[in-house]
Amino acid sequence: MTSKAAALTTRQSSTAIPPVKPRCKIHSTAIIADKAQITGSHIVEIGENVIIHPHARIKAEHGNVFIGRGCQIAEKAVVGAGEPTGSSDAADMVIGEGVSIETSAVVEAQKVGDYTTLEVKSSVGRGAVVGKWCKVAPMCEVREQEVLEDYTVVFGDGQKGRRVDGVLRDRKEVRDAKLKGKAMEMEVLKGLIPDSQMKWTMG
Amino acid sequence: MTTSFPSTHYACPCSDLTSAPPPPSSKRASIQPTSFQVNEEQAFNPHSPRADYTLYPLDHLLFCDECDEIRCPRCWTEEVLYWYCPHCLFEVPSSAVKGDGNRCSRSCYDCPSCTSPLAVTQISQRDEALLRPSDAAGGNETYVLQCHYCDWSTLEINVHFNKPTKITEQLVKQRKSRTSGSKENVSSEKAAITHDDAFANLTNFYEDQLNETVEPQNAYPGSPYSSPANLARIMNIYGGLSHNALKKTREKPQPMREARGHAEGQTSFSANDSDTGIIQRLQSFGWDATTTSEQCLSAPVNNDTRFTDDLWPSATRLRTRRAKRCKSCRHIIARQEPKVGSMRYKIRLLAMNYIPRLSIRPLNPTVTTTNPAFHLRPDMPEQEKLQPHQTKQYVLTIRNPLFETVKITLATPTTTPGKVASRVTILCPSFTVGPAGEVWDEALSASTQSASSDGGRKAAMASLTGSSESSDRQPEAGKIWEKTRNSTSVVVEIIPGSLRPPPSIVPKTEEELADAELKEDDDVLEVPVYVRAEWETEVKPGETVQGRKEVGGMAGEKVRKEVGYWVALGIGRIAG
Repeated sequence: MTSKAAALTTRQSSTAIPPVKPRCKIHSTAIIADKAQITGSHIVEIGENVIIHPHARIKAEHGNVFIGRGCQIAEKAVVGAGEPTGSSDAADMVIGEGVSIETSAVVEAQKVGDYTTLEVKSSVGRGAVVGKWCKVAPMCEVREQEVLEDYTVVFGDGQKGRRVDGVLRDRKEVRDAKLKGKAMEMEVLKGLIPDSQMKWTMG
Repeated sequence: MTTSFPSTHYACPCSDLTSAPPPPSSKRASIQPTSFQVNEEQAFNPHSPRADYTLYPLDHLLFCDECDEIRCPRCWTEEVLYWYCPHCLFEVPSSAVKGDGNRCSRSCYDCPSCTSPLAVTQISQRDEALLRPSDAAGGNETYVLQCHYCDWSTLEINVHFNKPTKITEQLVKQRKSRTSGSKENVSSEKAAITHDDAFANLTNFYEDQLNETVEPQNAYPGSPYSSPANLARIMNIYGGLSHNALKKTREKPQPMREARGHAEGQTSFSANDSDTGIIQRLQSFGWDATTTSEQCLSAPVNNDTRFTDDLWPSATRLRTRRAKRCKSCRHIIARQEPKVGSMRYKIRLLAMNYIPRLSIRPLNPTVTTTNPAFHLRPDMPEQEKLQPHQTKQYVLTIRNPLFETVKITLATPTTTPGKVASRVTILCPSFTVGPAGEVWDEALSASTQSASSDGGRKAAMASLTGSSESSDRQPEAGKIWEKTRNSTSVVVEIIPGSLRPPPSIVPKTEEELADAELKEDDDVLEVPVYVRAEWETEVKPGETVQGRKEVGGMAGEKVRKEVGYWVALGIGRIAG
């Protein structure tokens, strides 16, 4: 319900004031849905084969956003640094390769490593650094400025919520299986989402 | 108590807090009590700490139609209908549960780190590049149990399976080979013995010991005296045991000895045990790597594990489907269909279908209270608080779910019990409510009185111009406010009391001051109302009539029934 309210208010604000068009550098193979929103005045760079679903929001208002290749940003996800609290300077956000950001996730991290999955409704706080091959379970959060090692799994609540996934680290075939799964997903979505990146690159 | 007002909570009569005030001479049918005063001491106090455990919203209450009484969760017993596994939804017969235990035996396991279900996943061990086309068919498929939530898999404990079925067997085999393998590796006698083996050895040893050394229970078999000590004393007077028995007692029985050695299950502590390894592990991995007590207790195989790396998946625990029975008459009041996963009820006697339902709303609403389901914003707007000493009028509606006309009598103490005394007056405490029936009965019957439901130009004009008739109506004492087919509304006048007690001339002691301090929820205005409903019903052929009825029931005869209960109406919070 909170996201619905947020969507209502943002839609109202976007019609009231014309959004500032960010300086976008989008690879030609990336697919950006028509209803996706990219706002802000900083640079937004989107690598090859990235798929951005409808109603995803990329906010470059407080810093640049770089999205690596093969990433997937699902509906209602919000990617981009939020309001700076305190005296921290503008935060650039770097999202690695093959990162899956699922529905309604809120990502304000400084860096998200390669092949990480941020599940449904998860949230990553401002300034956090997430390693590669991590997984943040649905509705879990990574606190601000927190650093996650590579191969960490964040789940549950409270004390027992962190675990380093040794299997993923030690066995290549499990990682390959995951990569294969991600590649198959991208193939399907390529056919489903019509591209309209022209909207962001022209003008 | 509740965050949104107005609210209605029903008190089950089972508690002594809510037992009804003695109705004046109801045994004599000729004297009909029109209204009865409720004394302050007898009134139900919704603010008392015990009242929290007696008040329930209407949808939490069931009704027993044999006893004709409300049943709350304390008045019913639950009995198991069937056992089932929540993941494979397989019904397990209770005989199997008694024999095999309360776990699923069909490959349903729970993840040891996050307790969500594990799924059998296929992984291929061999590298794709090395596969020749001829190998593709007879691939070396291996299976593991994988958790979807936290990505734990049995690869973490190096366990994989050859086939996706009969996981239990394969797990047990792997566990045995693991623990027996570790035992063979250690040469010294003082090696640790596994918990299961030690337990088995110990039980066997002590059972043998008991059998060998049991004291002669019955030295004098067949005696009429129950106490062996008395019997021994008496027999000593007569000269002691019989010849045979004396011979037996001469052989001193071996005293029971304790276990010795691994074969009998005993493990001894030696100072050079490998605790250092455990301590080092603890130091390097920290507190988070140790198991919690829930994890240790999840399965017997996990009872000894110290570190989360050693945790084994545990079989899913079975759940039960239960039926509810009335405690006094053992009648089933709620029961579901025996099919696993079906949410339909075969029997469901809800209180809302048997007792009159109350609801209260302000007469002249200043703030429109909306249904919380329609709120878009997660934060609720502040509810208006009631001003003390200002009279407010509320409409109390009683809805009748029964198919007979019901006579309702309401009673409430003149001032609400608790720290804050507010004055409550029900303008019309005794009235009737019509029967519930088919919806189209209302259209056909001519008993509805409200002008708005009347078709025609007059009503349309009235509704357009804001009907003068209905808005100028003043509530009158002794008159019903509104009456529809199966509900009646009356007006209740409430004057909220002040939160601060009036200043007194005599200075209060410390205790009195502490008592007078307002605790949480003391500013909530809750009106206790005692509702008594009486109606006449026909006895159906074959039914027996029990309870308070004086007239024995015969088929076709009219029998008077009544039900009485306290209701706490939450009005709002008092400002001040």
